[in-house]
Amino acid sequence: MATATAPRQRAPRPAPQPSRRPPRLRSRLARFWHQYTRMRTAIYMLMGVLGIVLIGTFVPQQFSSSQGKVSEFLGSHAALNDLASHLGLPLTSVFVSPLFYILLGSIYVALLSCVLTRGRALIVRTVRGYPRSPQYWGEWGSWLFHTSFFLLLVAVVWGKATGFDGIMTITEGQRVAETRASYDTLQEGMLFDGRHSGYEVQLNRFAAPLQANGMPEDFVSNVTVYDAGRPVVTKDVRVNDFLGYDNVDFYQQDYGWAPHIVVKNPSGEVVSDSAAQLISDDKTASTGVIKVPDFNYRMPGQSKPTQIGARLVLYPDAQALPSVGGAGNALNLTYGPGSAAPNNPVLQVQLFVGDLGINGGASQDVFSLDTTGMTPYYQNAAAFALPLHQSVTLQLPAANNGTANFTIAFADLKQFSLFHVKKDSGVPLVYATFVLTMVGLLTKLYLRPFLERRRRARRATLVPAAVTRSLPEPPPPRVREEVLTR
Amino acid sequence: MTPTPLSLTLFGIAVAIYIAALVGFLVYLPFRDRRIATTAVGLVVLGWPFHVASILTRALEAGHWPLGNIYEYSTGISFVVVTTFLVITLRAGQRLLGVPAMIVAIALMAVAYMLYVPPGDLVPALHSYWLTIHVTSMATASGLLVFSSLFAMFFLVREWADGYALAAASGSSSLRGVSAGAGGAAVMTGGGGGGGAEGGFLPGLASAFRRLPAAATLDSWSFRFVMIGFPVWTFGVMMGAVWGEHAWGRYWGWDPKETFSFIVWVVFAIYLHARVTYGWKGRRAALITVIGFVAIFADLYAVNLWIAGLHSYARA
Ligand code: HEM
Repeated sequence: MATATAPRQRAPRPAPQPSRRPPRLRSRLARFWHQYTRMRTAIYMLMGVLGIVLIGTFVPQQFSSSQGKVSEFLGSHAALNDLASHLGLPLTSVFVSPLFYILLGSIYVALLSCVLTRGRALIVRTVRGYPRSPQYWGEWGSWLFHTSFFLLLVAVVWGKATGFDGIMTITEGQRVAETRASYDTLQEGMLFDGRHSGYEVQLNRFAAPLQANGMPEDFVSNVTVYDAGRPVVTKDVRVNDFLGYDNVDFYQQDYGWAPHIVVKNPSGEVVSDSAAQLISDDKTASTGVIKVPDFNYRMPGQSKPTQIGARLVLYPDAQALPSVGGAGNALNLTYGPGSAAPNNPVLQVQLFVGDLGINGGASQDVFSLDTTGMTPYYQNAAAFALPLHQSVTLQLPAANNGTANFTIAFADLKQFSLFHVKKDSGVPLVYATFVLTMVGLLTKLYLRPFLERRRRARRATLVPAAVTRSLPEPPPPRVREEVLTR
Repeated sequence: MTPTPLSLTLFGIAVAIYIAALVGFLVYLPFRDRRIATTAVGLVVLGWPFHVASILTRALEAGHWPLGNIYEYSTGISFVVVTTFLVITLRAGQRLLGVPAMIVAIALMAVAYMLYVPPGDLVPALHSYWLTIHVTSMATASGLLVFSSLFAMFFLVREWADGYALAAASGSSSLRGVSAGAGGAAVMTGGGGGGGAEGGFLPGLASAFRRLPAAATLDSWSFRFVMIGFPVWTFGVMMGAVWGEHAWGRYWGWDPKETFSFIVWVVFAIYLHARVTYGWKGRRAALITVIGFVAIFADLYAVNLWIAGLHSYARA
């Protein structure tokens, strides 16, 4: 039992030596370092982490809560947030705040120092052939546990730094290459070599069968991977079943409606023939835009060619609202949302004519329409309804006070799939550290007491019953203390 | 109206029997008749199979592992609590534990009932065996860690009662400054219960509490359940990460639910450190596990019901 108490201190602890005085600064540093790497400090740092993380659960966070909630919070707590930001802790992004990183960093520095010194001490003891006591194995367990935390950090950082993480949307029938340009958003790690795989992914079909309660039963994207033009894999990608090919993984994350709209200009030329991806929260009403920069028509008296664009609202199961005008024509009805099932898809189109602002180099956002250079087609920017498989003919001014007809057709209703696409080679390492953590923890918490109990049982052969029964009426406190605290 | 599912009927029977058992344990407190306690334990043993059957039939009715929403989850944790209580009480004769354990179990089932959802399909994100492993570990660990807090609370009241008795015995009117650590508790064990006859609320309470095991023993039991629960919680959080990676391509995202499970984990890690370094046994350690207790239930209910996140559809 003599070995049982001593090694609980970290091995090479600088003992106070009053006789020999090292230079002042060095001794201060040493004292600081000693304090810093003590477990007491670790406890305080962990408490600090707790505090920050608690803020993170109660304050909406920029990347996990909805934008609305975040702005609402910022609106009502502006001063508080300013103050906290000055202190390095912007409240709506605490998990990426300087203070959080500093705290994590200092925990990890202390942890590394602790792991190194204790590891060295353990190796020295092993090499010198100290007895393999339960205490010894317990220390290895503890060492492994703490080391695996360090390795976890390495695995996470390495995986993120050498990989990327992005969002890609693919409409049914569309084939998209895994290249930088194909992503809606993309974050590449600092050490990512910039080489995307380049293979193509085609969304053959998407299905989101609904349950009776209107919730999706499942979402399934049937995709085919084309590598160098040849189909190599076909797979149903679902929420719990991702597509992994060439170290890049595609996860089903969301989906939406993609109405296929065909626009013909006054010359009868097809100037836009594509599916617009709409976004929605509940799938009963989706919104988006369509832009036709190359409309290829110039209105009289205009110096630049005319462009058109529209804001779209899609009701997959449109319900006709009581009509105001009383006209029986579907195009004159107004609609509201019904269910998420495509029983009666109708588009509400709010059309604008003029300059889309794209050519001037302004950013091209596929989900919003900048109407500063445009005028609404109808007064009050009224929208018209366009049911599926119908088209509408509209007029623009032509030369000699005439009019020129052009058409917008709702040709088809498709769906698109939104994939979270990422490359993270750190994942297997992260899992490996999980295993190490568990092994270390179980060694420390169970193997060591188990060895101790066995050892004591062997020694105290005269009173085996009291010690070997696994969950006895707790013995008198002193003995129990010894069994449990180690 | 749809007919009441069999699982809910069995659930009701189990709750009713548990409530009867709790009444028994409460009656046992003032009337220290062993037969009352034995009957109460017997009632828990009687209710347990109904609880099991309720969970099994629920699984059959819903067609999935019965930890898919907050009703099922709460029922599952209360099952862990009841089972653990039975194991402790049958093997080590901890009868007084029946009061807090059954209060927690019944409260969990009451919340389950309030948030009842008829058996039905899960949303797609919940179809995964990683998830099954994850929620099962989390529920088990929650149930186990609850006991570390219950023993810690017992410790705190026993310590108070020891201090009270010591002060009373020495004729001192001031209770402050009296702290009964391990040694004090051991000294006082023999005298437990003697002073209760004098009457008065506080003396009566103190004497009732002094029938608990010695403070140091309670402290050890509390630690023991951290030792059992902490690795299970750790494993559960890891499996949650594996599930997150599998379902969404990220093993960690500081989603409120993940964040809170991390908080609980750090609280108990602090507990382990504090215990090893400072030899922070006793009161301070007990307070940490009580914080852990609050955090576990905040994780379970506050986060699910008030704070939205990827996990929050588990509520539906
Ligand atoms: C500043 C960094 C840290 C230091 C200096 C430190 C130090 C220690 C020491 C000295 C022990 C006792 C080991 C033994 O008796 O063999 C210990 C145990 C432990 N540490 Fe840490 N630690 C640190 C960070 C962490 C972190 C970040 C965690 C995770 C939350 C953690 C979790 C644990 C656990 C679970 C134990 C086991 C308790 C036991 O030994 O019974 N530690 N730590």
